Amino acid sequence: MKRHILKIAVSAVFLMFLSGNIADVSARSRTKYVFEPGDELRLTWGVAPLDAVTMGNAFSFPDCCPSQTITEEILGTGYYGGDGYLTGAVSLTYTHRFVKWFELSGILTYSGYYRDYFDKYTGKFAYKDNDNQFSLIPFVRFVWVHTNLVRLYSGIGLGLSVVTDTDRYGTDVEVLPAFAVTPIGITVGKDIYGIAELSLGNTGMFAVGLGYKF
Amino acid sequence: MRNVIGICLAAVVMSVMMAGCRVDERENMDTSAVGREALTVYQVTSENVLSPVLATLDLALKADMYVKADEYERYRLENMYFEDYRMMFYDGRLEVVDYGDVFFDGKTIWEEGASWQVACRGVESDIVCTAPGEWDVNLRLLYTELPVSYYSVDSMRMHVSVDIDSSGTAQMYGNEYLYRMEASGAYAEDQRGGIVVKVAFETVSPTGAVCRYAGRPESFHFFDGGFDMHMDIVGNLSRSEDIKVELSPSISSTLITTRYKGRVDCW
Repeated sequence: MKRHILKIAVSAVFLMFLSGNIADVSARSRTKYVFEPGDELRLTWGVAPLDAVTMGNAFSFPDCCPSQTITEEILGTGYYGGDGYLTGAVSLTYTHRFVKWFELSGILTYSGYYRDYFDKYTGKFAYKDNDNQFSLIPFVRFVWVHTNLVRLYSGIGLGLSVVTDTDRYGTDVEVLPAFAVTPIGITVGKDIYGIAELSLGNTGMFAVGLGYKF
Repeated sequence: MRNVIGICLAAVVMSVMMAGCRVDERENMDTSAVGREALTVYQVTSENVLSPVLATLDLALKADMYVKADEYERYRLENMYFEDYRMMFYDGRLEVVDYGDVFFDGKTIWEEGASWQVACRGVESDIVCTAPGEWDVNLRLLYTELPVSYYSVDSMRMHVSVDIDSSGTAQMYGNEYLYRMEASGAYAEDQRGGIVVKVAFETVSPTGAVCRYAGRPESFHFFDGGFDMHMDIVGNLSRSEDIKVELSPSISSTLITTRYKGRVDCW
């Protein structure tokens, strides 16, 4: 987990640098900032989302309690698992800028887990364990620093998630609440910008991405 | 152009980070669930079937020690072997309250021909001394219920010996007797999940055994020997499997080797 957070931090710095390069013309000219209402599209990836998929699969423990009976062993362990992967939270955000300090967004987030299982006697593929969570979160953003190049903001949102859990027995579907609380986020850039956020909720604890204003 | 390349590079970096989020590792096939079936059968046999029966002989030998001891030695033996229990000594009988009962026949259990009856945690047996330091443990099937109630013994034959040195002292491991056991028998596991499991077992050679925990006297550790076992499964699943178990000579770190379905696994 620490290694992933470090990777994201490095990537965030990298994106910030790139975004600064892209928007360097307006920054260096030091013209007075003029707010323009409009729309934005963002694509971010967040690590460690606080959602059902991650909480259910991030912490795997070895067999702590061996089977108590022969029957449990025969019937309970017909398969062995391959590598299991979490996608993290991939979010697509549509934002409308109303005034300089207030933005309203709709966030669509995906979080998934994938693992193949194999028959323990033959070694052949048996089934795939796949969890998916789709969240839709209306989100309000309050921008408290706004220059031509940099925005600092906070935000909060509450919405709904649909979770599907597929294993060898079939697929279960569940509806859960979804939320995102962002104490601080930063964008750097003008029309195309980099994003880095610290959040609590379905969008991930630490998210990075790219955005486009139009 | 340079900026577009930078954006694409950033997107690739993000994709690589996403792909690296492996949270579960592939389970090691060398210690897979197939081999674990054989290990479980051995553990169930040793822990839930053999140990409770051997515990009746162990109780008889410790009761013999107690009967021969003076007051002070009895106090020491109580603290050593039966710390959590109360001892009641009657004429021809020693009761370890809530643990077991030993009925004597007037002879020491070490004397050839002696025959004691022992009840220990639901298991009842007749202990017959066949030679100094050797006993047949004859399970009284009709009156026996194993401590783990969903196992039932169909048959059991057990012959146990303890090495005695030239001074007449029995070989011990710490405060516990070191046994050599030859046993054969069969048991069944209650129907669960639509199947019934039946296991037949036999020691391949005299196998070492020693009481495992002072606080849990009916648990024994086996070493330096092995078992041939056969498992039949009937019901929703139908299987017939042979299992061979080898136990290394070390008492403290016994290596268990199982041979099952063409696999060799070490535990």
